[in-house]
Amino acid sequence: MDLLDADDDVKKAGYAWEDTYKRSWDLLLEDEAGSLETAVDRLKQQLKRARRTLRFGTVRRGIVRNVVLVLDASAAMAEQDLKPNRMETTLKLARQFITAFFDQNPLSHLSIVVTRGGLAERWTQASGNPTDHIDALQSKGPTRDLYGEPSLLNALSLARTILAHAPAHGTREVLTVFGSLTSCDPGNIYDLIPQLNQDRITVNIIGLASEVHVCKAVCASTRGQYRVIMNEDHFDEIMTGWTPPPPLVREDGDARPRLMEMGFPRRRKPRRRPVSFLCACHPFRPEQRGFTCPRCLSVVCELPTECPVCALTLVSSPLLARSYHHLFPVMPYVATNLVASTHSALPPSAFAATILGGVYACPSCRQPFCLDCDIYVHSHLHNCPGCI
Amino acid sequence: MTGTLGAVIVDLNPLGWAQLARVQKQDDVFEKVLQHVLLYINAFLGLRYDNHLLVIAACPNQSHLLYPAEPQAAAEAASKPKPVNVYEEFHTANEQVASQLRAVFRQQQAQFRAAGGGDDDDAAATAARRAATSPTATAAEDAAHVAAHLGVAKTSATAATSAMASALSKALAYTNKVKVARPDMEIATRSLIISLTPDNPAEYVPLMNCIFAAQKMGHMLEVCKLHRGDTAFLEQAAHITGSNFIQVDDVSRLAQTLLQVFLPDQETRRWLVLPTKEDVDFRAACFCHKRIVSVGFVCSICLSIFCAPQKECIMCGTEYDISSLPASLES
Ligand SMILES: [Zn+2]
Ligand SMILES: [Zn+2]
Ligand SMILES: [Zn+2]
Ligand SMILES: [Zn+2]
Ligand SMILES: [Zn+2]
Repeated sequence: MDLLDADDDVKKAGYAWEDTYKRSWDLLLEDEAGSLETAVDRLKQQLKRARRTLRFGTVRRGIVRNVVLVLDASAAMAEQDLKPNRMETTLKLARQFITAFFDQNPLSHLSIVVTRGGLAERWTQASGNPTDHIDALQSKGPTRDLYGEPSLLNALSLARTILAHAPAHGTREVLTVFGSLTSCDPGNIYDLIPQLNQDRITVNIIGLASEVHVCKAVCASTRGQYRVIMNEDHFDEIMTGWTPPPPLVREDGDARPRLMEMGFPRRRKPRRRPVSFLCACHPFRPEQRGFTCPRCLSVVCELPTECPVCALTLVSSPLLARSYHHLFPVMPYVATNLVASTHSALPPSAFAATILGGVYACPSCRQPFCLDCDIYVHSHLHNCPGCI
Repeated sequence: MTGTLGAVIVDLNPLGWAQLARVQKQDDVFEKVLQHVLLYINAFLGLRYDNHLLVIAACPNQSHLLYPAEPQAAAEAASKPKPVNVYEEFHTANEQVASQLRAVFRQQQAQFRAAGGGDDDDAAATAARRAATSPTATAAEDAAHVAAHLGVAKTSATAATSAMASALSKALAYTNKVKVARPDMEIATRSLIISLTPDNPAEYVPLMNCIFAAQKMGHMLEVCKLHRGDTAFLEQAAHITGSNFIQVDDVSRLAQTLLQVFLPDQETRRWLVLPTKEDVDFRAACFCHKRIVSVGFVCSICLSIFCAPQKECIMCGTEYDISSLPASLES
């Protein structure tokens, strides 16, 4: 059923060569001085804004994620169409991805699985600590160990066993980077799909070569996405697209939502001597400072953790707050035809720079902003300086 | 070594200042603190030729960018005669910052009195007296309570706190704009917050957004606290951005703290042993009542924090799995 739907979509979209002929250079018009710079700047601006507007929208997202990152380490990954080779590029992007992932998805867990020589092996246990994974990638990822064929079936089965232990209130995702055009499987992968769906696991695959039917079928029937890269930048873009919490798409119950009781401790340093003390979590290691559980007042040495005495989950407020801008997004600013003379956040005399391009206004406070501020507010600050 | 773009954010909440005057037993405490701040500003501008200053006032409901001034105001100031033996930039900065801060402060006081029913300082003074005698944690609530009794229009927390997130957003947007507009210029950036009032829990999310934006930019959020209220969010700000949090109890020593702790640039600070705050308060504010909580209930879908368990998330509308709820809610 789902497999056929996926094929239909392609037919509707048509092939690139069947599309009407577009004369892309007609978009570029010279300015009065005969230069293309203005036109190019304007195109760049439009592109920047378009990329951002795409991401806007209030959907329910799963912030507590359980992810298995599957990396192909077969002989196909030694290809040098990405520089220096596919594996090196993948490892570099995977490191970036892991850092960004934990930045945006607090309380999530990740584990790394690698497939080569027809087998799948687990590189890291499910853990919420980015350094565990980055260290593993650094120490275990030498390029010379690329051999044999990957096994999609074995990798997905292993991922399924890992995700089966994940708590029911989070998402369950498999993110795969697949360089090979073949897969050496000990059984029929289509038999695995109903089991994946039963465990509500979503499979996403990035293909490094060209489209492979079985990858596409697996993704389509588990409501994941299958993308094939065009170049390294495109690879980076797709990988980065995996970092924000995904919208919840599985109507069959993505996750069983729960209220989790949590404590927000204070960090304390003992006032009186002795300055060192023992924490409740590591009985034989003296500590200089610790966090006090607000419920039972026992002291732990790191966050996030579970209180060893009363089992309360202890987190710091910044850990949760990193994701709150998804809940309170700043409305996209609208382009206006105002002349760049006023700017609500700053007096224009402040620095010599001219305000390039258009003026954008906040729909709720109606304050004008320049393009730089527009981009900064929506991609980093997440507060409208005029509204609050 | 590079120049620094330093923002100074001064809290101009009239309640906070009335309370400080009470605690310090000085009626003109605002003028005294202003002199210390001006001293710091002069030292900052004098330290390097490429140091740039930004002054923002945080008031109960809004913030104002005071320096650099709008072009008209700047032109007006430039047309006035200047003393010949004063460095021009010091003179303009001093004049503008002092006059602007005084003007906004007076305006805030007037607004507060108008809202409080017109009886001279008593609203502020009563609030301050109550606050000064009560234990630290409830000072703000108390002050707000008194203010509410006297008929101050604004609801509880707002009158007793200042729009710190708004001031920080302005400082960060400004800093970013300077960095984008002058990519050739290497410049370190930081903000010094002179805090007179406790955190406003309603500002929790915007303030945390500012903290993370500052962290990404390598922008230090330094806090110089002149009161004894609760400042969990500002403590987190200083902790996350790796800068100093200093509580000053005796206002006459403010200049010393400002010059010793907050004047050196990032590079120099690595070689200094500065007093630092070891205790950090990691508490959060609940989304349902805007109260600061130490134990909360967190929605597994959107991570919203609530102070009491409930059946349905007010933020994302999720209904919780019945088996995960405490027995008292199941019926
Ligand atoms: Zn420990
Ligand atoms: Zn405990
Ligand atoms: Zn706005
Ligand atoms: Zn509440
Ligand atoms: Zn929720």
